Amino acid sequence: MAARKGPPIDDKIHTWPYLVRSEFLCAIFTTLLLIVWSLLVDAPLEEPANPTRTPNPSKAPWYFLGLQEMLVFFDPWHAGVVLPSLIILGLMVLPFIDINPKGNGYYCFKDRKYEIITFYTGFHILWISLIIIGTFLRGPGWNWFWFWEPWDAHKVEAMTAVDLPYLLGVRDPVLTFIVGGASVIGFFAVGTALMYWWIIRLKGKEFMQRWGAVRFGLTSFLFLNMWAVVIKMLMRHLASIKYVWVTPWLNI
Amino acid sequence: MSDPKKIDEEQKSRSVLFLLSAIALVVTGLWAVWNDNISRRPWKHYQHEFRQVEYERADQAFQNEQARLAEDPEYLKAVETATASRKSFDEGEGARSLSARQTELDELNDELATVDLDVRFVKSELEEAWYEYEHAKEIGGATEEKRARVDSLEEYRVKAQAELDRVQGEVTAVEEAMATLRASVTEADSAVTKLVAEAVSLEQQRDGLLVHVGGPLRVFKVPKIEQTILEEFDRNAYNQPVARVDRCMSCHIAINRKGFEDLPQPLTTHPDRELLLAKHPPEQVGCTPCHDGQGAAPNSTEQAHGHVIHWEHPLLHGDELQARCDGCHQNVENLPHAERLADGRRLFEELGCHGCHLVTDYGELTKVGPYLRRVAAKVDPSWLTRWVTNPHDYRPHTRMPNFMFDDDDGTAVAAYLLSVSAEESSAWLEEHPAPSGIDPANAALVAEGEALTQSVGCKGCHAFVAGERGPMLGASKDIAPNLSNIAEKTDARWIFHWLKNPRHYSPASKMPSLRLSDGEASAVASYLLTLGTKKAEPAARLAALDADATVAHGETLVRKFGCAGCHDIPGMESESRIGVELSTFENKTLDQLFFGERGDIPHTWYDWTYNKIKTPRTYETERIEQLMPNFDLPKEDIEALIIFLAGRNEEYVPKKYRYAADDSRQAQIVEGQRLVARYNCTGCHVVDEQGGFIRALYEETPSFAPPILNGEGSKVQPDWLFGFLQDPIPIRPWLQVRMPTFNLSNEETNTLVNYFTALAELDVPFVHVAADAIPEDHITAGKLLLSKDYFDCFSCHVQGANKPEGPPEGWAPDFAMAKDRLNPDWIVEWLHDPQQVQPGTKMPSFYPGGPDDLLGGSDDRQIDAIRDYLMILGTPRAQAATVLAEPPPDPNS
Repeated sequence: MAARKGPPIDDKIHTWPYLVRSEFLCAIFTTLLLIVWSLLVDAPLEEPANPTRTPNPSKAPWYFLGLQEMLVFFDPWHAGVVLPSLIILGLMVLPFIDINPKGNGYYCFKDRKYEIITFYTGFHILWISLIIIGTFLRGPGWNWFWFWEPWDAHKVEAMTAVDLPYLLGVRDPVLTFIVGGASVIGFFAVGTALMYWWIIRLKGKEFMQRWGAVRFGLTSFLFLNMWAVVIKMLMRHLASIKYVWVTPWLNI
Repeated sequence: MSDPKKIDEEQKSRSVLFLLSAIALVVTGLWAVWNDNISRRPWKHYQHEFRQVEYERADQAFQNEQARLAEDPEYLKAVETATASRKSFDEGEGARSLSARQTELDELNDELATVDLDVRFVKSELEEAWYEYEHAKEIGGATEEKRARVDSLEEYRVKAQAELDRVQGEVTAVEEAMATLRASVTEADSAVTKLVAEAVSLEQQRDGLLVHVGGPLRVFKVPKIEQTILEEFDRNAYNQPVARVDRCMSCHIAINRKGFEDLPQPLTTHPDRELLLAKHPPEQVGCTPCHDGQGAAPNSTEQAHGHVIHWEHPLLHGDELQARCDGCHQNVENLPHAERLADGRRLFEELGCHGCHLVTDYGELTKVGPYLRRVAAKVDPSWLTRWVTNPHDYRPHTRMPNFMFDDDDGTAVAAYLLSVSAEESSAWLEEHPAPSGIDPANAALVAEGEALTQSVGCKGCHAFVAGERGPMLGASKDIAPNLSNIAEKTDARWIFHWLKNPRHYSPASKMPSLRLSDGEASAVASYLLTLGTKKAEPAARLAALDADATVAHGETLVRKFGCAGCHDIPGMESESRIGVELSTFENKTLDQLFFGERGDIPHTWYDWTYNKIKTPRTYETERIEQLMPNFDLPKEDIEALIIFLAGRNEEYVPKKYRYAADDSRQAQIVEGQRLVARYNCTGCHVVDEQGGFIRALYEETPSFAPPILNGEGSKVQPDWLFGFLQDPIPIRPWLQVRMPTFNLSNEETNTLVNYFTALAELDVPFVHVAADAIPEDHITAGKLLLSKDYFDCFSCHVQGANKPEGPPEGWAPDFAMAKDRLNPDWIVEWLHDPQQVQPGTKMPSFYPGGPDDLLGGSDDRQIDAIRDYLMILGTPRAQAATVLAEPPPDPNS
């Protein structure tokens, strides 16, 4: 790059025309992409809907397939109501729990490492990848098919998942309930403590005081919930654990 | 805080990017237009191609006509005459005179235009004046002035009209004068015009194909979607009627036009267009109701033909198309182009598929297999074990399928059947003692028996020699058992009583009684006992038949394999069907069809079904058991069954699109056909143009064959037919073959009577003859016509106790039966032309060409007289009729 001449200039430039022209170019190329795409690929219509013959697999619209995928791991009340509500509530409280003034009005990873990593974990791992799994890797019977495997409607997968207390050798129903509950509550208790310790170490006591108990509590609850979903999915995939805590009202 | 990158943004030019993006936008825009109008509209190309061919052919036809005219002496002469006449006119006084008249006419026409305008204006003003006058009256204003205007305008109008009439008259006079002057030329010209009319019409047809005529450029009509909208043809997911739209003719543009048979697809004419499209005009009923495919999507051949993923009804090919016929036609027997469907339907009904598989409209059919309640009284136990194990060993063409039992299972099923039928069997045996007089060693008796089987009609159903084929069901099965080894199966006692009356043994037997005397039955039984020999199974196997464990195992097997679907078995009256319901079998998707370990066959509905019928347990695996037995069907039968099954779907054609949907006769025909097939009436008779198997034995003496029953419904009276079917009497005493007594139930007999009536399309089958109203001259004339002096009918026809001379071979049906048996309208038709009604009949034709001296020589009146006479024959009035030596003077002569 040639060396710049002249006196230093302010690091701001005018929206018009410099930003707008770039945005306009982006718009044109996006439009081109969409036109070419629509010319080459037809809408993927399937057979006319028939209420007496539901398709296998029956899939939600693609943007909801992340939610549908979560149904594999939790009971419908948790996967369909609790978790989505937490996502929405979490997004709503973001402005209130975030007291980091850096990165307002500009983009900078260095100043917002935690925030950006957390967002991308939640969005890409828990949302986009689940949509990809739901769209491409789930076939008839909601069985798992790799990209290269044909969807065989008659495929059988062994169903050997057990609940966590059973895996730990607990058989008594009351004890099962207690162990399950202790695991879930313990996860949040230990997780919150670890997070507290981690933030103090990273940011110091003074920051924690400024942040306050409510903000910290909310943040750690949401943060732990997010990771709990990932952990639960791994438990199912790697250790065939069905539920951690089975209650008459909710299975987690 | 200065970042050089940001400064660069101000110095950079984006014009290259803008240029490139602009070019790309224009290119993709054009691409989109091309895509939308050309590549996704292949039918435009086809229509253009067709228009060119069409134009060329029209042009060729025009050229041919012109070439013909150029050679046609008549035309050449006419042209010559016309030219000469014009020339002589132009050179003569006429032309000058005409020119003067023309000047006169031009002036008159100018005047006419002025006067005409004047009249039209005054009429218009008059309307206005009338309005003002009437309006003034309505609102109560002053009217005199307005009335005066009306009157004066009316006065003026009358004058102007008279002036117009005058000028008009002058114009006409001048025109007539001119026409007279030109008469010779006009006449010659019109002669030419008449001769070139065809050429002119062809030229007009050709030019009509173009939008723009003249010049070197040929502009054809703009291609457009050709579509048929079938209102309320389909039903959506909420069961509401929706329209179906077929755009097939956008590509198949000439499908309903004669003369393009030689063009390739999609431009060709429909095969057998005169029949198929005349009955199913695609402009009204579309194409997909018969052909399937995705008629609304002519964007590409694959899409239009439905050869795309998720389209459930891709185009049908060849015989598969017949699967759609019975969506609209209840009766597919004798329906042209639906032969394979009719075969498939008959196979489904008669092979007993419905015994295991429920199919809508086929749920109430009679069980096809023999009655097993008294089987222990009928069969040899050794034979039964072998039969159950594999029936095809004993009779390769039996309908009974092979359940592929091993010897132990075969023995068990036989043991159960013998045990469960023991009680009823012994009761039957008590009632039916062993007959005497049966002796297979008596050669004369055996020969008599064999002769009887050949003559009385057994061969209408049965064959008696191994390898000989009787009438067949489909391409391989026997309708009735081949009896070449019957002695291996049963014994003299059962055969005798069975021959005497099969229904005493089996109340629903298809086998009729041929009314054999005891002697005849003994002879036939003796003959049958010479066919085959008993074969005993090993003692251990026979001993197992009595073991309780074997019987219990047999019961399990009989239930599991659904034997009661075809057979009447004691204690199994309420067994349900063991097979899958097939009412909507065509709608089965691939994941609903289990291919087992058959990775070697294509995974399609058709291949699954074909292999299933061919080798029914082919999809069995180590863990999945299958029960369907093997019918050993040949390819053509399997294909026919598939065509039948391909019509079992959820589709429901609305009434208004179906053939004769409100005509109850269709259902009567279908029901009748089932009975005709069940009792194999067509083994002896030709019914509805089908059958007559036994006629092959009477090729040299067709008059000895059982009668042909085409048109029977219009021939005989229904009440007579009902009685006859219940209790047949000999009508043709010269026949050796006997109409059997089927012991039909009232319902069955009624079904058959309705069947014949429906086939004859009679709305009112019953007839009443008012004997008293028959005029006397008809009776006397009828009596005369029948007499020796005229047609000498009694030389062949029996009349009650009066038999004709000569051997019975030459006899004809009894006239005494006519008034109860025959439909009077049929007699008229019959006398007009017997050969037309029944080709090959011995009955001579007397008309046209009746005697001149009776009833004014009128054929129609004489035929009516014969009919009337036959209708009262045997009554005192007929006997009292005096036949005068001299015919009575005819009142009309």
